[in-house]
Amino acid sequence: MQDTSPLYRQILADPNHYFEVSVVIGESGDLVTERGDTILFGGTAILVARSGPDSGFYGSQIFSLKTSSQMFGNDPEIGRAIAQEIELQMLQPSGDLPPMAQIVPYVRACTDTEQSEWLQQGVFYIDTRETTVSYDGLQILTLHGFDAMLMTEQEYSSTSIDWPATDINVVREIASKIGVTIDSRTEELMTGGYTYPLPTGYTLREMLGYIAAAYLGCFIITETGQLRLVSLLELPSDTALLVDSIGDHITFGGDRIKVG
Amino acid sequence: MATTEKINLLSRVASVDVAPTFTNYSKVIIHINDETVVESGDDTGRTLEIDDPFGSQELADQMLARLRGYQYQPLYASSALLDPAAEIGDGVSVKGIYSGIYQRTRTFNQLMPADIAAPHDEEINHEYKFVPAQERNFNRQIGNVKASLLIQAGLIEAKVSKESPTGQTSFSWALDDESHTWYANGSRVMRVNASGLEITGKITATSGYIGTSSKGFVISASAIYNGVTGLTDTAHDGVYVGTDGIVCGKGAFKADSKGNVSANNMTLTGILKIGGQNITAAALRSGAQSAYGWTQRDASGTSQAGRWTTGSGYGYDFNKATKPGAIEYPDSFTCKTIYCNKIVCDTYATSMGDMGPRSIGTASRVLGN
Repeated sequence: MQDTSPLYRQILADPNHYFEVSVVIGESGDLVTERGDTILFGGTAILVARSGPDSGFYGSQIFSLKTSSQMFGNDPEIGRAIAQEIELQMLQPSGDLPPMAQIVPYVRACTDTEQSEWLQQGVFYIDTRETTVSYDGLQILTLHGFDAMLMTEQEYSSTSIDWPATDINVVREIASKIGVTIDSRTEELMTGGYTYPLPTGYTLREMLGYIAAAYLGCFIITETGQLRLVSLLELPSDTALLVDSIGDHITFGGDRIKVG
Repeated sequence: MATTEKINLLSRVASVDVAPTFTNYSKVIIHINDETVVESGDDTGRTLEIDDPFGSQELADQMLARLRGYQYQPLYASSALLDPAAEIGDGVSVKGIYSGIYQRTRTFNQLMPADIAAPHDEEINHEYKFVPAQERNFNRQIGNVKASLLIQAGLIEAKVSKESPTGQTSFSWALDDESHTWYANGSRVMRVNASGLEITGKITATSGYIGTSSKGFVISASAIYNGVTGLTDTAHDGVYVGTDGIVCGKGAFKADSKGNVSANNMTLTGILKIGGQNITAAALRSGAQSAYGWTQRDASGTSQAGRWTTGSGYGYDFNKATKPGAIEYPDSFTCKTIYCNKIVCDTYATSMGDMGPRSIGTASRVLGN
């Protein structure tokens, strides 16, 4: 579960809450109207940094957005490292999107009077793009992308660590190679100290799979774009705890209340 | 810090599909490579199998020890109003069923609905281990067959081998930058390189050429020929060897499958055998002398079993130059019956009693007519 603020949880407890979505694509763009027309200042487009969800695409600019993620296929498995996918239909932005531009969706909880912080919902990279024109002349851009796990589909051809290497050092090097950091839960989980020889001829993804299998789990990229090992054995025990109407735990002095 | 949490969805889902909880895992199998497999545990529960070239028996034991007691709960929930902060791996309770979120498809809108699952492919979680007959037969067929494909910078090798009660068989090929070689049971059977093709063993062809289509031998299912196109072809020079016979030189020599032989000229240096008779350069010889009642002798009177000869001094001269068409024998011979129109002789033996009352003198006499 991602970290959330008390305000977020408070808004979620409000039965009238709803969510707002924002999508940040690339590093910068031009300021546009809701129809996508570039807003000019003295004939020049106004450059805006897309550094955060507040300056991302939102509302009627986005026609549809779906993400899918999975730990394994259609049967319980271990040793997998599967990339998340994103499918985004939106108004054609005025600026050019560079190849493999980053797509980062965000979501926040809202009521009529309050808004929570933005929660990042993945980091993806454009794989394919297609532009179509709607019946009323709007240019619609359809993007499909994967997260950084797809970058592990490369051979372990160079290294900067000593071999045989411990599993966590191998994972750190792989994370570095694909430009991500490691989720802190992964470091806590990987205490086996398994060692591996230089995996010549194997891909980064295969190595992640072999290491994950030793911990009865799979690797994923989290919503914040970090490399994470998820073990089947991590599942919290099925303890019956008192919850409120939306399923949040009711606490007493900070402690959850066990039922029955 | 993010944590792995249990989320209670109560009934905030459009639909839920639940299958029975899997039985406990009791066995771990690690496939290290094609030849090496390590196992830990027994067959009393479910088996977890993985491929891991870096695996070991110790790892399999450790995995099983941690896996014991774990039970997987399949679960599908559609359009779940799931907190967007939930992550893959979190626990989720839906209508009293507790499982993990291992698959999630989210639609980004004001409700943020998600289809979540702890997927499984099985309709029923069988407790009794049953292998259908077809699967069992399939396993039996391929159980001992191994295949490998090796791709390296300078070499590609493919091999299929099979273990059976009668031994191991294998077939393979290797391709490098100089040749393509095929092996059967480890021995080379064919090799192709820049200088041509080498084959060890049987060649079967129902069509094709030895040489070229214009100058070579034609191969068909029943013949191999060059020039001559068939057994009855007398228009073309060449040679034809077929199941119906052999012919060469515009029909100058022909031998068919029924034993008929024709030749413009024939020279024999050995024996020509006709029925029981042998004809050689020196003699026309009977193979069964006694059957004809002859006792041939040479000039010295020595018996020459089964011999008719044109040599001087003994034997029979069928066509002596001085007496064309006659048989002349300078010495004596004995026989039972002679059928002929005329016998001319210088002397005769009195034992030729069946000549009847005819008187034969010592001078040349004419018998019969």
